[in-house]
Amino acid sequence: MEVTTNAGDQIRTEAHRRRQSGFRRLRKEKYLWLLVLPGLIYFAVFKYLPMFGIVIAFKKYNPFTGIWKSPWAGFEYFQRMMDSPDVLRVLWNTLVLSFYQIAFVFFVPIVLALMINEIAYPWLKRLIQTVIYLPHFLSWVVVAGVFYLLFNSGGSVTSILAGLGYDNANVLTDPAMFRPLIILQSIWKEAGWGTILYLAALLGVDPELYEAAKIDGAGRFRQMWNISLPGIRSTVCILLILRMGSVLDVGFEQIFLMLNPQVSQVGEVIDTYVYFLGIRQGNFSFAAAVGLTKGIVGLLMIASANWLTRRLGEKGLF
Amino acid sequence: MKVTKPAFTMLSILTTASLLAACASSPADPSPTPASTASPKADDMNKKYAVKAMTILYGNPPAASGYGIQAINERYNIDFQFNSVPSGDYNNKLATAFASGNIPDITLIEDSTQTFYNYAEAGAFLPLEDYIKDYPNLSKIPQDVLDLMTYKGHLYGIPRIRAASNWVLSIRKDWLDKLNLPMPTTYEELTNVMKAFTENDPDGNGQKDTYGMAMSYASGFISSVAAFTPTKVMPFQSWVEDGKGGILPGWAAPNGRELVKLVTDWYREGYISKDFVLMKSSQSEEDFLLGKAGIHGDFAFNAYSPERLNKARAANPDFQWDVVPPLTALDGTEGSYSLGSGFYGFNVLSAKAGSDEGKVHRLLQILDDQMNASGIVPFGDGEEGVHFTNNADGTKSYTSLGNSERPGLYLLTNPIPEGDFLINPSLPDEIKQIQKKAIDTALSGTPYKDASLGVISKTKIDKGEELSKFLLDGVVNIIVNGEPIDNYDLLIEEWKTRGADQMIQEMNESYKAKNAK
Repeated sequence: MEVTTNAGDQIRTEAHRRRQSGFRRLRKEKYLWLLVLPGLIYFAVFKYLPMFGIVIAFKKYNPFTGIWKSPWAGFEYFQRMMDSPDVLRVLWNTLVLSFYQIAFVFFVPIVLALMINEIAYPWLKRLIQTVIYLPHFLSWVVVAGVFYLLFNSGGSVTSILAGLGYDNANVLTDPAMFRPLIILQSIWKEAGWGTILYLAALLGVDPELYEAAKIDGAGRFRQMWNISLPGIRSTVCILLILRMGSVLDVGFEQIFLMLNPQVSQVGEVIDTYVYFLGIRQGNFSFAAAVGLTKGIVGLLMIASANWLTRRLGEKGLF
Repeated sequence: MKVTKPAFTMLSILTTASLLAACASSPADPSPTPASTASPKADDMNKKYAVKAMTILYGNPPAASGYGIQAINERYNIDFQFNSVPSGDYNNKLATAFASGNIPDITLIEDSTQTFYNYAEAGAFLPLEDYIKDYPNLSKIPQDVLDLMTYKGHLYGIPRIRAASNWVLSIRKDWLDKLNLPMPTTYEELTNVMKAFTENDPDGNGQKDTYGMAMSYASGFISSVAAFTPTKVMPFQSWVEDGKGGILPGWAAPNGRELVKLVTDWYREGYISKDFVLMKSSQSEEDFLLGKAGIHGDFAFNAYSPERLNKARAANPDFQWDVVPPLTALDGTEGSYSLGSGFYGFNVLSAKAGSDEGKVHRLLQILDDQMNASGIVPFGDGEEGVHFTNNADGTKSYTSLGNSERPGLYLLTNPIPEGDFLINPSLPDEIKQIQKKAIDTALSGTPYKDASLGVISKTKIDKGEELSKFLLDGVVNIIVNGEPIDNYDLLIEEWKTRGADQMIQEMNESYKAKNAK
């Protein structure tokens, strides 16, 4: 009996001390907190405050009447979303494209980084790195423009394809080609840039491990498999979790630029659809409802990926 | 430039605060009653106003600052911010402005449909009916056009009056002559001409590098509108009478079905560009002028400009063009081109600008001056010798500086065309003749109007864009994939279950109510 009381007291004083020390720490570290403050304000103003705007998903929002004066709509727009054949289609398109991006685009930088890491000459390594970073700095508009020029009916790629016996290859308007085209573009533009983090992680691998492996008679591929890969495993996991959170973000700009009526059946994704509903049709509340649903799905995805990673024994995000 | 940290912080706080203020503000009262007693003279021009205007741009934008802006600022004692948005982007920019709840003082809206009624209902615009009678030019605008931008008894827009003529189809006269073909008068003959233009080497260079009709979809079928109108199918969201006292979207009418069948044939045979889905109207225009395609459609009032002719002649000195008469409709009835709604675009004044009576008068004064028939804006040409030179024959030539900054480039509206169309007397005779012919042809027969003008439906406002996109995407798919026409029937079926049935019903109720008046 006494013991439990004592234990309770102990916990109370412990908590008290911790609280006190919390204040003391805050005083002690006030300059650090001051440094963090702009960042906190940024998130509060630009990320958290606008979240109240979500309320328009439950209202019949009209920008000229304002958020508060617009009448409530309840779940009307969510109901409409459930009934709409388009929403299911764009959700499916988004998921398929996202799956392709994770399956094909996500792992390219890892392979690329491992390959660059194996290059013996530092100057060649740097040269290759610089060259493959370049496309990242082009805007999507430029990339899309180049693809349009290459692949339209008079474009050089189309001519080459025709020379190879593929007459009238309409790559830009062929629904079956849309997803491969998007994936190809993403890889071309972003794969090089994506290697940066992995190369940094590879630099952190202890060189003694490689030397020890060499002495034990491990070849290049053995070393890659048993040392390099495990060395960047945690980086891969964190990036994969982060990628999961944006699983429904497949890149508005790129897709919007590559869309045309011919491919809209497979090409339209949640973001372009929300844009169409909100901006083109002026249906802000419906667009907000679709966007909110997207956000919730994203949250669920990141939480489950995090749970999975922790189950696999890696450190998660939270 | 060095910004001190506290100043920067202040700046960001201010920016944030103003952003928040912009979000929260809500001009709630949908119909503020204007004080109608005030006359234009009440504005003594003493107070300086900041005036923002957004308008649609064809061609090159005028200089952002310089002589023109200054001259306008001085004349009206304003700080003029002229934002001209390229036509292809205009509706997106407009929608974004609306979404912010904060539109410029003077904003051009292209058409009186959908969003316009939506925002009129929300009180975004200033009612103008009590003001315009005080202005000599504004008061001359025909009432039937004003009716099209009147909502619940309030006038919200000042239309840019256009000639009644709408679209016409142009054809390469020299190609027709070379191949010994008569001017087409039916769709069958048109198809034959397109076939000949594609296969019989009309430009005589020995290569199969030409095709029938320049058509583009990326800007909404615009360059092919003229080819579709004689059979009463207009792209966008135009409606036709169904012959039973009601109305129907053109694409869903029997003629629409036949047209889809025909265009599918054209595409399969290569009479239209394989890339038409991706092409913009500027590209199809180029194909026509530079001798790749032999037929092209455009507005009658700007299809035949000296600039276009010069461009075409530079590429091909033999270039001759002609106007295609309205073809017989696909169902065999008399065909004719469509009539415009009597205006193209209208300017609205923001409700916010209406809070200052003096500013309203200043804004209306600007619009009224620009409608002066005598010469756009009295000072619009700038300074002689700097911006223009007088020619011996009484016409004016603009210098390159004049072409970039004379005040006449910053226009928001235009004079009411005299007679049927205002043909600029300083144009070469060749252009004047074909312009006259284009307008006569556009108005020949029994031209018809879009039946949905001034007709409203809640479903159309709410879902119209969605429905029209679904239908047009479907139509394009049928054309490009060469699908059997039965798929068109399935498409219409699904389009109706998606809400078009509801929309058609509401539109018909509104149409009958309007006609009963």
